[in-house]
Amino acid sequence: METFTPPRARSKPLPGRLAATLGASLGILAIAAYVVQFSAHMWTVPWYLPILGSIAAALLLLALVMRPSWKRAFLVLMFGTIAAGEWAFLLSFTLLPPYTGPVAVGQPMPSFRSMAANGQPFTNESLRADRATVMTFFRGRW
Amino acid sequence: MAELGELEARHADFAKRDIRVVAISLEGRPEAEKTQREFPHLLIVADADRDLADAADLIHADSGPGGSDTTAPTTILVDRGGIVRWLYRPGRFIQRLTPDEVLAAVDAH
Repeated sequence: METFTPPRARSKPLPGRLAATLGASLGILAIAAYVVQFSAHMWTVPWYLPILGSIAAALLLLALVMRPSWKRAFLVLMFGTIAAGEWAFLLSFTLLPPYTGPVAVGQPMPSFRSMAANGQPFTNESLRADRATVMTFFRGRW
Repeated sequence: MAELGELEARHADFAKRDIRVVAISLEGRPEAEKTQREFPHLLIVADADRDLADAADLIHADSGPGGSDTTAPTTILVDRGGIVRWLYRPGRFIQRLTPDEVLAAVDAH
């Protein structure tokens, strides 16, 4: 007796799955890249961070439109918020105002009296020395 | 503070050019002494009274931990006569010059 085996239903990929996977991966990759950059003490402006973050959020939004779900909506919200934060960080929070102080090329440093770590005074006179000086102002040990 | 480590690592290149590197922050002497021990080839200045940072107008207000003030990351090259030859102020406080960029500026000025 001949048996009949019904054809197996071919599983269809979920609509927008590729966009969702790409978006989430890109968002995580951008943050990982910044962690690596920070650890390597590379002090350039990480413009790639908000750019890739925005692309990630856009891809996730596309995936949400293609097949709405709570999970995708959550990812859009999360990566969208991260991208917005990254833009705000670079475009506003990290900005330094242009220098308008009294230090001018071709002029002596303004008069000051400070102290070296060893307790010795550090003043304008200290700058008149047998060597030129690079003065680097840093934010502190924290 | 990582930039100090990079400058320390290149101290021979600065010495070759007869340049000393002075690093200034608003921290007090105890912190400056610690920093000095970590970076023995730099001269660390404890500008806790802000005399230098105020005179040069380099205070970055409310930018430190707990809203405290810090110095704006800035690099100034001063010649042997005490005359300013170059000033670099980045557009963002997350930017720093690499030692190679500082050395290139030294060579150019």
